[in-house]
Amino acid sequence: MIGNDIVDLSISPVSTGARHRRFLNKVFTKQEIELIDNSNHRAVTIWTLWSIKESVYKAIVRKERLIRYAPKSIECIMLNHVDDHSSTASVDYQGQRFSASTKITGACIHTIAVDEPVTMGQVYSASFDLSYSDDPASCLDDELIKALHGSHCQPLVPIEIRRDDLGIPQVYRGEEELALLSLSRHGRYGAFAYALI
Amino acid sequence: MNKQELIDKLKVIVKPYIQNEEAFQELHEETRFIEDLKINSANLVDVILDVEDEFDIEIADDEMEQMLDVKTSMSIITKKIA
Repeated sequence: MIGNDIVDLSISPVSTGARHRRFLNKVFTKQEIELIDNSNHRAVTIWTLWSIKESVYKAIVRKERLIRYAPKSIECIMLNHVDDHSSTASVDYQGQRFSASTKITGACIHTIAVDEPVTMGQVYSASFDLSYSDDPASCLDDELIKALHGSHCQPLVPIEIRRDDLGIPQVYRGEEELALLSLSRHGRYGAFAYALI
Repeated sequence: MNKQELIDKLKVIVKPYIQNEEAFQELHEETRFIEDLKINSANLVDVILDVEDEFDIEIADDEMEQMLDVKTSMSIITKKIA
């Protein structure tokens, strides 16, 4: 399966004091909180871990078709900083293993998560600053269709994005599902990730 | 506290986080936080923290997991303040 999540750091303040601690305790496991408390870049570490867990959560919702809000059931068990702007992570959800890959560009954190049989190498992803648009949601859809047309598919039959009853987006060419897809928007940013089927 | 008072209090709590004004105006017991009000996941945690503060209760993880709509939230809160 596939999931992706984008965080706009400029609208993701880290609160302080008791409320901040309560927030951390609701969302992160003991081990994750340790990682946050030992970090020199607290806000970045918090929202990196957040986007890793959220992208895995989105992959799980696709798989299980069940909305359930249990952030601590998804645990980042390994976070590896590749360089200042990118990390890879290994994530556990009830014994299932997901890999995640995070990139930080300016104020934007973007994470992609996959689990078997999908591999990171199969994923095509991009993120955008959509602040210029009045309708960022359809703008992102347009960017996605452009990308699918451009690099992967001959558009003999029009490509369209549908959303199911849980709001999960799917991409079709005619009646054929084309790719495993995940869309994400936050603040001024939007992103997609897909793996062709 | 009767049902309507509880709904009114919840309405005040979720208001800063909603992204669908129409669904918010028509908020009722079946309203879902994510799908209908379009509250994002980070703000869902804020809703839980605000509920804890407003009613002076503590929401456990397995309760938070279910607090995805008005009805379930009301039943969890009612049980705690009883």
